[in-house]
Amino acid sequence: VRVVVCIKQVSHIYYPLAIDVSGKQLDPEKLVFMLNPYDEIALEQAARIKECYGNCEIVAVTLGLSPSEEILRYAFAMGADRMIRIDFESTDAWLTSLVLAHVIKDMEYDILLCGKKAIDSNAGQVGSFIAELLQLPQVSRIVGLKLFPEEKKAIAERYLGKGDRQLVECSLPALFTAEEGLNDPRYPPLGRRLMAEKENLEVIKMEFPEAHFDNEMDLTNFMSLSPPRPKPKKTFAPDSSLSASERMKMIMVGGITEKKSELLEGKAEDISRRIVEVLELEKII
Amino acid sequence: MLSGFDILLIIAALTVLICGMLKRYRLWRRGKPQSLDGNNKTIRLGKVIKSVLGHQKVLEDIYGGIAHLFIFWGFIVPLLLVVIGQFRTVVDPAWAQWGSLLLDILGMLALTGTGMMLYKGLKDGRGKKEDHLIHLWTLLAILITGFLAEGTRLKIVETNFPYNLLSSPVGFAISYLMPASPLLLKLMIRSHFFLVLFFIGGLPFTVMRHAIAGTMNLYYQELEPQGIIEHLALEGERFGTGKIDDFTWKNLLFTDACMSCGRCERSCPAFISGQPLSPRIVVRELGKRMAETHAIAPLDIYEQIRLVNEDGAFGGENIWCCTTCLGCVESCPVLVKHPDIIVGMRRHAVLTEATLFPSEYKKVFKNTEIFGDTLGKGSLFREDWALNLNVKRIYNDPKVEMLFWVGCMGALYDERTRNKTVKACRILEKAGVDFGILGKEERCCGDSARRMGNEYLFQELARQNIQTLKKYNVKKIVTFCPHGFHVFKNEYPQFGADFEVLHFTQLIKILLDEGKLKIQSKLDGLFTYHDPCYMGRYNNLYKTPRDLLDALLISDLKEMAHSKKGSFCCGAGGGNFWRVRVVGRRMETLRIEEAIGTNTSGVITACPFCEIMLESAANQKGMEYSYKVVDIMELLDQAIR
Repeated sequence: VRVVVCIKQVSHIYYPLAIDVSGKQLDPEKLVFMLNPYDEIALEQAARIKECYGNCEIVAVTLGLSPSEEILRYAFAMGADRMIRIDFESTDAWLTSLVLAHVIKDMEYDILLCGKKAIDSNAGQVGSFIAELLQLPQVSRIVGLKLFPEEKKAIAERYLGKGDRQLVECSLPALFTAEEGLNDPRYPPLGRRLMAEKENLEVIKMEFPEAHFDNEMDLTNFMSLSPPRPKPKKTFAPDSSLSASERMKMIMVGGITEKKSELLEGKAEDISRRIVEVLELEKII
Repeated sequence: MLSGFDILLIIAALTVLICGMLKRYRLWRRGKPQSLDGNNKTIRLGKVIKSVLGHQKVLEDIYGGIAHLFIFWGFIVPLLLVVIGQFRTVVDPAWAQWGSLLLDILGMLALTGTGMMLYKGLKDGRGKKEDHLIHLWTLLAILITGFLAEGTRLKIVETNFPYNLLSSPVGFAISYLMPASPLLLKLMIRSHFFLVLFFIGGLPFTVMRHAIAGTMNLYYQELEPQGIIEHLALEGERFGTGKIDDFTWKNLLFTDACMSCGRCERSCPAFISGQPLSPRIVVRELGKRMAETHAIAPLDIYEQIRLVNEDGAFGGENIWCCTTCLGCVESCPVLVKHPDIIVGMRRHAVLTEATLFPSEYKKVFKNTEIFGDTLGKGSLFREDWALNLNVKRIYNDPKVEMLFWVGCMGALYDERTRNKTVKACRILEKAGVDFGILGKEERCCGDSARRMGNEYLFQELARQNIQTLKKYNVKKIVTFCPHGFHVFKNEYPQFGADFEVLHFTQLIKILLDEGKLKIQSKLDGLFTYHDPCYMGRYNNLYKTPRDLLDALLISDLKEMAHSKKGSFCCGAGGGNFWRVRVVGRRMETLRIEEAIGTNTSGVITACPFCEIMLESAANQKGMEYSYKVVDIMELLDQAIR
């Protein structure tokens, strides 16, 4: 099984009002650069496929300038075997997809994995575009994946929202985009991290694929930045009767008002206990 | 008198002893080499003498300590007397009388001690479980045969009455029960002799090997401050201790120095609160596996036993329950360092296996990697508390005299901890201290990461922090988080840092003594003081905060039963702050119950972690208004206004 995972280094805004004084760009101090969490889930899925089938090669591909090599090395630590950086910068989903598809086209692969969206642009288009360009079946937002490599098919579970799931069967090769809940990404072992530092990283130079564009207007253009409309204030109400770890969790997810899915792990007993805790916290029971 | 056969027997017993110990020695030497500074020989010897002959630490536990004292001296002195007796046939009768009386008394004491030990061992049910009590039964048999022999001898010899009573009262009493049979006397003496040889030869094969290994461990103790975690070279593919051979030989020596007395259990907050961790079992289990690997393979190609696994003494939740509070180390009479073993295995779980750790930690690690703090907020938030304050930022004023290290808790956690930071600044300003903060350039100090086993993350943070501090030429650091205090003071020097580090209470003490800070009004209220582990046991700061509180409060402090060296951890250390605990009771609840039990109106602490934990425990009991959990800084802020 050969797996190609497309990953992106996202600039995550962690501090309010990140637009700098000029109003033209984001203040780099208020950003952190990190591996897109959905891509991390995709990588984890690839690593699990590798563990399951043994004879498997994972290629991590990213588009960007040299700082994004950091996430490739992280991907290697998580289990990727090859790291490819396409030396090309793009803020447009169609352009990104074109470049990626152009590179992936020449590779051998059975499965293509992407995150469902990048948390900075929130477009969620690249996966679908690549599938379109490569003429592949695509299953988006999967929360479960079963492979049958001999029969060249896969069964994926799609997330439809509100607890609904859709089972989709498709032939391989195919593209899947990962939704939260597909798995819980691992913490990479240090040995692989140190290996990743020394590992050879392939850099592919790309020209602007002009043939695909009649004129510049086909691309999304950056017009201006504006500060967000002030959100209704969500104050964190520290219920100090909670244990420190609970409160910590609340701080980290931004208070109990925020609805966020969460993956419970551990023994059945612990999980059920946690579920009851959450239900009590939400005043459901 | 000794026959040639007896001498042969003695030699045989000694050979068994030496070979047995050599075998153990080879087991230890399988561990990784650990350099020990051979300096300070006199200090080390002095400590050994104090601990072994003087029972300094053993006597901290009264029951076991006294029993041990009785057995120790009741065995050593008679043995010496008997050995000397073999060389000097003619003894002045007056001396002989005193010697005999001494033997009698010591024998009686040893008998009492052995009885006490046996009673305790049988009551704990330990005789059936992992350790047999054969050494104690042998001791008992030695003592009884000795007395019976003495009694029979006195019956046969029939010396004049008062002399007997004075020289050996116990033997005299027994002599009434014994027949005047020389055969019986012979039998008793021989069995006494054989049992002693059996005991000595058997030393390496029971927990009695602690007599030798424990003494060695005492000699090779680390003289530096306690609780410093060893530096780990980040090279290769395997990190930490996942197999027996990964331990240092010192760690393996611990397993033989331990005699399973259970003091560590009695001072372990995790064990007491019913969580699945016993420092004693960790050490015993390690020793067992060390011996097992030896038994099944020849010396060079040991079958290695994988240590960190899903179940057993090391797997699952067990090793994660340790709060690294050093309670076990402080109470251990032979200075076994349980946290070293536990942190080593955590390192293996986090760095090598990377899966076998609580899933909550994953988030903490990632947050720290990406945002530079354990809460995952981001570095700019570190200045938010100081938005409207006139506090110098070091990146603007690099010439300040002292750096105030705020830390993750003080800068980010919640309203109260941030307020505390503001108060700390107000106090420093009032005293005219020229200080600055690092603000957005500060990162997590890495203490928790290190103790959770993520040495990689710790080293990254330490290097980053040291680089920042050196960039601004910082010489003096003050911090109010004892965790940061400990790492800066004792663990950053591993990476080439040499800052003068003060805990906030130390600085205030100095300022008060110098008269730069004056207490305007003493505070009312009856309080108790909770010793943070990282101040107390790690850095011996027991007196400074108490002196400070003496100056602050009208009434005297009321001490809890667990205080100073025996302080009971709040449950936050070693990464447990972030761990979801489902088994057992909460340590902080136990602690707050103890504090409430002192009939005080509140508990004072000097650590943000302790304050958060204890406060949550008090609130959970519904006592948020009736029982106060205050930081020493909040009191000070009131008192100097």
